[in-house]
Amino acid sequence: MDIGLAVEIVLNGLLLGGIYSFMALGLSLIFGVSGILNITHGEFLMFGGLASYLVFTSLRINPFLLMVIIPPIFLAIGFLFEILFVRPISARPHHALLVSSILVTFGLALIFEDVTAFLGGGVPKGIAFSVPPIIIANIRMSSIRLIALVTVTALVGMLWVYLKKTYIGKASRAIIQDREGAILMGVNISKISMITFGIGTALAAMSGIFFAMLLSVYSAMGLPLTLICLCIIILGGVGNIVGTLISGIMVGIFEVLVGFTWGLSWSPAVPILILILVLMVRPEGLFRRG
Amino acid sequence: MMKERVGWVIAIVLVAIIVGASAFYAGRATAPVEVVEVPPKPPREIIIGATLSMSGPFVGDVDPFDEMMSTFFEMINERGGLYVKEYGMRLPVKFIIYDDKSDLATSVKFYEKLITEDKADLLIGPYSSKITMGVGPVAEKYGKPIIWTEAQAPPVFAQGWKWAVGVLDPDPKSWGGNYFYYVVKPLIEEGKVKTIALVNEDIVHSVFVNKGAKMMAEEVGLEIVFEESFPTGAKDFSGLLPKLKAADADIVHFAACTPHSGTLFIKQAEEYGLKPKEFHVSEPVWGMIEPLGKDADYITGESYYAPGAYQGPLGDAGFIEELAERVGFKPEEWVWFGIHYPALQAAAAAIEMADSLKPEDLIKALKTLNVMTVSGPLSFDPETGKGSLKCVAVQVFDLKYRVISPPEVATGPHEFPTPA
Repeated sequence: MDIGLAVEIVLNGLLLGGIYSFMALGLSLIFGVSGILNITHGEFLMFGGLASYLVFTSLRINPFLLMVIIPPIFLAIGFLFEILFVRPISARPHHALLVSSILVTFGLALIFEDVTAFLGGGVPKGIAFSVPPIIIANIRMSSIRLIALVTVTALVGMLWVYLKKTYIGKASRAIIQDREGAILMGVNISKISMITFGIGTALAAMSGIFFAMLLSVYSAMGLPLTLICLCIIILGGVGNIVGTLISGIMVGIFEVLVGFTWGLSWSPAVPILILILVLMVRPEGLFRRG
Repeated sequence: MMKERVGWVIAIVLVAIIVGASAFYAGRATAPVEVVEVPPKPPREIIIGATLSMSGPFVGDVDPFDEMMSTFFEMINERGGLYVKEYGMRLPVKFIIYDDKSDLATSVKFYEKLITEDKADLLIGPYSSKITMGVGPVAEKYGKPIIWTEAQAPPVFAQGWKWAVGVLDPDPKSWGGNYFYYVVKPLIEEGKVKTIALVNEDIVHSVFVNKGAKMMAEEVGLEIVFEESFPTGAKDFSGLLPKLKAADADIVHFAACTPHSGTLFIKQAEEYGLKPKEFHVSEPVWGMIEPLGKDADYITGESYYAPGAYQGPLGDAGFIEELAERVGFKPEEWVWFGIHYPALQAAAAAIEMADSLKPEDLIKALKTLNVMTVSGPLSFDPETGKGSLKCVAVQVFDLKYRVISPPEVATGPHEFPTPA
C-alpha cells in the first residue's frame, strides 16, 4: 500500500475517533460521577444538533458561533433533567440505581425520539456548511473533523484541570472513587450530580453541533449513538476522560481500517468486537476507572 | 265590566286570526313554494386504505404524502366523490392511513387491519420494495386489490400477484435509462467520460438500481473502475473514500434508498476533496439535498415527476396547485411524488371504470386501465401487474430539480462537468 494512502487512512480514523470521543465524553463523566447510565445521552446529542440547525437556519450565523450559544442552554437543561428525573431515584443502592437509571432514561429516550419525530425531526437535517480540506504533503484532512478533534482534546484538558484543581472537580473524583466515603466527608452529592449532568448534557449538545455540520441529525439517531458511546466509555474506563479520548480514537482508527480493508459492511461491528476482545483480557477496560 | 273585558279578548283573538289567515293566504298567493331537494343519502362510502413511512428511516422520502393522499380524496369528495357504476351515482371516499414506521411487520399488521376491520375496497401500497414484498401475501390471502407505489425491485413482481398491480416497471434499465442513453452516451462519444464508480446501499431497491446502472454502463461503453456496497445506516464513509479517490472515476454513481446516506456521502466526499466530474445519486430526494445546500448543485439523479409535462385526470395544474397549497408542500421537491400520485390517479380512474366495488371488478378494471398521469401514460401488464412509468433524469441547481432527459420533457440543459 502507498505510504501516503496508509497515512491518510489512519488520519481519517483519528478524525473519526475525535468525533466518537466527543460523543462519549459527557456520558463518561455522568456515569462515573453519579452512577447513572444515561441512555438519553444520544438524544441530547440529537437535540443539540437540531437546535443548532434551527438557530443556524433562522439567524444564518457562522456555525462555530453555535458553540457559544448552544452549550449554556443545554447546561440548564441538564440541571433540570437531573432535578426532575435523576434525583428521585438517586438515593437507591448502587445496583438498583443502575437498573432504575437505565429504565427511566431508556423510557425517556423513546419518548424524546417519538415526540421529535412527531414534530418533524424525523427528516434528516444538517447545517449546509463546508470548509475546504487541509492538504499537507498531498494528504487530505477534513477541516471540520480536525477542528472537532482539537476541540475534544482541549475539552479533555479543561475537564482534567476541572477535576484535578477545583473543589467540585475533586468532589466529583471523590464520588467516582468512593461514593459512600465522599458522602461521609460531607460532599453534597445532589449538587455535584446536578453540575455533572449539566456539563455532560452540554458536551452532548456540543458534539451535536459537529454532527449537524459533518453528518446529519434526525430523531432516530440517539439510541444507536448511545450504544457506541457505551462501548467507548467501558473501553476507556468509566469516568476516565483521558481513557475516553484514547478509546474513541482507537475505535475510529479500527473502524476506518476495517472499512477500507473488508468494506463498510463490517465497520459497525468494530466497537462491539473491540469491547468483547478487551473485556476478555482486561475486564476493567483498557484504562483505570477515573 | 267583566262582560266588557271578555268582549275585548274575543275581538283581539278574532282580529289576530283574520290577520294571520290573510298573511298566510297572501304569502301563498305571491311567493312560490320553495321545494328543497334533499340529495339521497349515499348508500355507502368507498373505502381506500394505505400505510406509509410516516416515521422511521424512510420518512425523509415521503414525509408529506400522508397529508397529500388525505387531501387528494378530500378534494375529490368536495367535487362530489367518485362515480360508481353499481350505484349509478357518485360516492364519497373514506381514506384511512396508518404509520408503518418504515417497518415491514408494522405495515403487514396494518394492511391486515385495513382489510379485515376497516373493510377497505382498494389499497394503496406502502413505500419501498422491502415493505411491499412483505405486504404482497396479505393482499393475496384476502383477495383485495392493491396498487404498489414505490416498489420496483424485480422480486416484487416475480411471484405474479393476482390482486396487485404496480405503477413501476421492474426492468432495471427503466430506472437510469434516460440518464445513461441520453445524457452519458453523448458524453462518451465526445470523449468527455470514460469511467464510472458504482456505490450502493445494501438494500433491495438500491441493489436493483445498481444492477441496472452496471448493465447500462457496460452497454454504453463505460469502464467500471470501482464497485462496493455499504450497509443501511452507515454514517461514516472514511473507509470507502480513499479507495474511491484512488479509482479516479469520471462519474461516481451512488444508489441509496435512505436519504441521509446520500447526504452523508456527498458531505464527506466534499470534505475529503473527492471531486469526480459528476456525482450521480439515484434518488436525490429533498430530504437528501436540502441539508447539502449549495453542495447539492450539479448532482444528477432520477425522478418520475416532470412538473407540467404530463397531467391526466385529477392531474391538471389547477388541481395540483390547490392540493400543494392545502398540504403545504412543493411536489417537485419530492422525487416520489411522481410515483405516489399516479397510483392515486389510477385508483380513482379504476373505481370509475369498474362495474362495481367488488374486488374482482376493481382488479379487472386496474388490469385493463390505460390512463394519463402526472408522470406519463400508465397501464398495467394484465399477467404480471408491472406498470409502465419510467424515470426522467434530473440535475439539481439551487435546491431545485431541472429535468435534463428525455429531451421531450427537459426543462433545461445538462451542465457538465461539475466545476472544481
